[in-house]
Amino acid sequence: MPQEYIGIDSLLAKLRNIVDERARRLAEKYGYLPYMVARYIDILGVDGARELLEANEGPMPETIRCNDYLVDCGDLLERLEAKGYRLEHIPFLPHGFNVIEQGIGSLGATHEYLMGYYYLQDPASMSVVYALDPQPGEYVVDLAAAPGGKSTQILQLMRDNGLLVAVEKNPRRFRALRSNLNRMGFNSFILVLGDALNVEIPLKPHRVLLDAPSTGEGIIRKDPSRKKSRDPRDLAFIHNIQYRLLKRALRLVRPGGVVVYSACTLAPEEGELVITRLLGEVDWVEVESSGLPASPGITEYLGVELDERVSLCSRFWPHVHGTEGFFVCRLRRTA
Amino acid sequence: MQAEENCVAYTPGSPFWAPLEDFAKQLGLAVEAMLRAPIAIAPATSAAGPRYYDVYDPPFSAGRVCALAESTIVVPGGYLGMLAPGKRFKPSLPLARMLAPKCGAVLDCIVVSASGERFFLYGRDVFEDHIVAWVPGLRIVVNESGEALGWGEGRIVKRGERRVRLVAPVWDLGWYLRRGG
Repeated sequence: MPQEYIGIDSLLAKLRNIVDERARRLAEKYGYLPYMVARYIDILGVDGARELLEANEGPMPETIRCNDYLVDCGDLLERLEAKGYRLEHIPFLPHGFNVIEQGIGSLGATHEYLMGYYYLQDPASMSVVYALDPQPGEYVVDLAAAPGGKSTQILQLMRDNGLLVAVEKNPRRFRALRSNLNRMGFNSFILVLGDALNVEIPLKPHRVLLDAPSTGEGIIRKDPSRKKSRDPRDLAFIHNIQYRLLKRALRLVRPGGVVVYSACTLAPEEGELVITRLLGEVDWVEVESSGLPASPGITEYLGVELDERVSLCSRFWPHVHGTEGFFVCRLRRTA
Repeated sequence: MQAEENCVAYTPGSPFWAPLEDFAKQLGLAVEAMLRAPIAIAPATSAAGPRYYDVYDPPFSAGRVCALAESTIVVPGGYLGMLAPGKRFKPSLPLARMLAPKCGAVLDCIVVSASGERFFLYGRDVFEDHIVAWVPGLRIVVNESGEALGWGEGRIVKRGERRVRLVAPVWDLGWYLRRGG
């Protein structure tokens, strides 16, 4: 019989007791901290966990988002094919393409890249903005915006018509954000250097994106050091930051407005547990289906029952979807 | 409108209007055809006042942007260029893209071939074998499809006994790789 969720600390305390011999063996084989593998076994079973660990050993496939605000995607494909690249449309992403064959030189340095005709972006990361569904003429806020993959995508879907306020705390990353927005041909934005928790945001936006800072457990393929770099205390720390940022996003958005919460992670502590905690504290938020072709959010973790509404959230798994690990949840402020 | 202010809306007759007007005139445009309601923000100041201004095309009113700029660093919309007191306006890459559709119609632009495009985006001078259309002075440089590659200066230099035309990059798209990210 699952227990009721009573908070992140009690759950993390359970992590100390769930590491068994199977988890230890797999952790040793793939070079992970044992608690991480024990969590994967809890969620996916032994076979699923093994598949995930194996998928994390492969390279990240290269994918691009065509910027159809500046270029016809068919024309872009022809131009890149003339340079030896072979690309294939990703069925569930209107502007997403897998790179099947590399061409001459780096895809991050072609003339087309410099002209802003595409952005190098993972499919799961792209899907977040489709879940947000920004419309031309709207006012949208991106609370943790650098380096600008999602900000540029928001303005692409808005056809550069409306207003995007993009907030970034880190001055170096702020520079990259500015550069990417300029490169990709957008004007309808205001970038604000500041802390999303207290920066002044004028008026009430229609939509807010919070692609929260995370422990990066979803991008182990890009950063294998993550297999051993974070212990459960780090998860508790980042969980609290994510929760505070999400509350801020929901206070910012206008009643009836949409907040999309996402994190580049596989950790339930940074996904379902953030949403469960929120739903336990406020009654003016609804969870909506993101409409993404991903797995549902998990509703039971380490023997604890989470809010069942988190099943409407989405999870991208590297071994199932071939993407980065990602958590996406679409929320609506009802009052 | 005082020159020492950190956030300034451009209006005809203000101290900032003349350099923009000079720049537009050099291109053969009226300044109003080039810019809507630009705004200048000083990202760096000294005791003597702002050292230079970044000029933007803001998506909403200058007053609101300046109020926001009082409390934090903001980048309001498309970047148009840079202006230091007493100096010429330095146009940006987004401004080149914004104006490039006017090339051949109301703007005289420099056109380079595919090989010229490669040289230019590597930040190298482009010589006449790779130039399709040449104009002297600071100009938008485009490829044969009319796509903006940046700003270059059309110059004539001596090569032995010959006088040859070249395009010297002033600000090319390769900047996004070399410096921009």
